[in-house]
Amino acid sequence: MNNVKLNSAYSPYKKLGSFCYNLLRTVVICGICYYILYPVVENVLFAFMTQGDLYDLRVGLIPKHWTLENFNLVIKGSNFWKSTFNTLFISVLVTATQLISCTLVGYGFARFKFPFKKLLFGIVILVLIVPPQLIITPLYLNMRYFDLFGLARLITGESINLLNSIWVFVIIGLTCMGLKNGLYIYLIRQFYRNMPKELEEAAKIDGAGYYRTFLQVMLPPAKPILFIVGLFSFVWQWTDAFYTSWFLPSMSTLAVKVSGVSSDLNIIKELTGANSIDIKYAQLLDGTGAVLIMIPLVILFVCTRKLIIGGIERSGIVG
Amino acid sequence: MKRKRNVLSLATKDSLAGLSFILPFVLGVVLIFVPNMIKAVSFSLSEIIFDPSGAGYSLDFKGIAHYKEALFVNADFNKSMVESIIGMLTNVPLIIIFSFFMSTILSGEFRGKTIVQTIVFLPIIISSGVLITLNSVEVSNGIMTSAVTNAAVDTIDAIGFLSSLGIPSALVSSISTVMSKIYQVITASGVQILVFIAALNTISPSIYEAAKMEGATSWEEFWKITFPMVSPYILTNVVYSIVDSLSAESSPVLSLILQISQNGSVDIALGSAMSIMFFGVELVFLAIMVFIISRIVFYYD
Repeated sequence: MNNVKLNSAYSPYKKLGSFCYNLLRTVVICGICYYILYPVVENVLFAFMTQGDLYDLRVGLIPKHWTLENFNLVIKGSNFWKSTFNTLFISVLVTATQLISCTLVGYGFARFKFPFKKLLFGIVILVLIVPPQLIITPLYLNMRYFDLFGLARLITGESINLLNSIWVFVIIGLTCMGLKNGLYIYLIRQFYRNMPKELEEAAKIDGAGYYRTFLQVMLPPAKPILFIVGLFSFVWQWTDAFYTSWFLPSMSTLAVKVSGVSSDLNIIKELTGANSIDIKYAQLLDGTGAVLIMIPLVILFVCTRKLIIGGIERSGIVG
Repeated sequence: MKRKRNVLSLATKDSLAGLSFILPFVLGVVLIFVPNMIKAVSFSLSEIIFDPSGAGYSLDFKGIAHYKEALFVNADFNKSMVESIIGMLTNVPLIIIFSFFMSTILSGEFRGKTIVQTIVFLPIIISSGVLITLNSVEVSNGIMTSAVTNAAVDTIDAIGFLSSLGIPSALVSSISTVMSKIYQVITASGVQILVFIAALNTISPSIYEAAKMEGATSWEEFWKITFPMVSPYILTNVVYSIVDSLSAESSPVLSLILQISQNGSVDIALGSAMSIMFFGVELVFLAIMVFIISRIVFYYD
């Protein structure tokens, strides 16, 4: 009976079935790719349109008069190069601090037994699910009047204003309190939990201490997952306007500045001479800004996609 | 000193080392998380008075006045809360089903797989942070032609077509909701697909081989092997999706809170009260979901 079943893999019905499955799969995949790519392609093409093309009913997706005017406007209006530099600096800093602290914590949760472990891991999840909007106001006031155990007031007589300094991000990053850090801890913990214990034990028998074992034996195999976490952290910081607009109100960053161009009439007036901006053109400027923010990220992602996808597939987050 | 270290048992040493690894997080909880949560609660119960000299602020206890105001006076809070929750309840199942489906497709072999993988993970980038608002301006106003508005137009046509076939209008309208949700769902499931792919890759091929030898069909293989082995990650993904959909900046209640808290000191308190209530509701939903799903979860070890 079993033999018959196995042989039936070569029957014409089975062939037809697998052909139908492949066809269905191709159609579904194409549909999904269309859904994802269409808005992106459209945004990019619209960004090259003149204002006239926008109102021309004969112009569909492909611009009639190609222009770089919109890009120029957004680049000038958002102080683009300085903002990009600032954003890059903050993103690298945030990625580095969050990666260090989350790796340590994830490893600690995966490999050691200590009192209140379950409770503490519950708090990791709790930190992830607390909406940032709940904690941002007290955190803002804390950073505005920063005072660790009243030390600053004791020494200088007043609290320190940490707003507009990158120390806010260093503090938040090093204590795993940044955006979605609970997710990073979870992913890294999952990875380490499924790594064989033998490696570690061998290192310990050879005389390596806890920290040396971690640095020399446990860290190198985790490269793929650390890369994924680092990429998330970088991307989410790069596009973040929430934390930066609260903590660095006077530093120009890409996400804040670019999204402000179309709504800031002063900039528009200065650059185009027009007194007002109509909603359609404002949207076009927003789209152009989105393209400018996206380009570096997409390049980074496409260049490293093999590392990411290979990392997930080969070693697996879970094992 | 050396003698003292030898006195510690291996288990104690281990737990001390473990605590030293998670020290950053413990510090974060003790110094930032807990004090700020307490502050958020006390803000919601009082009025904040800023010192004119800029040296600090003081609190004036008001009781549950702000909670009452949010629930019974503010016109938008209840409405946008319900909106957020309904959005979450419709999106999360769709996201889970879609990302599971996508991950099974993506873990098979076919031509052009790398390109498809790249495109499917692209939304992690293009729908993050400020980009989603920059890109979705067009959607909310519905003036510019975009994939989303086009899809909406197509949906309307489809609605007309389906109702002309005599299909009940309730069914048609639920179909159209699903269709208009497709874009949202696709862009929100990048991380979930990633987790599911990783989970699928952990299932050892020898289990499938054994099942095949025993004469299992693909249907049985799916329900008896794939599904139970992946089920712990369904729980993970459900929790993540609920959190992600409720704490997205575009969610109605959070944009309301943000708008309110930036108004001034009185409204900071009102905003805190609102976000605490919202957080409470979120916790209730998470607890219910975790309770239900943990009954079907199967742990291999």
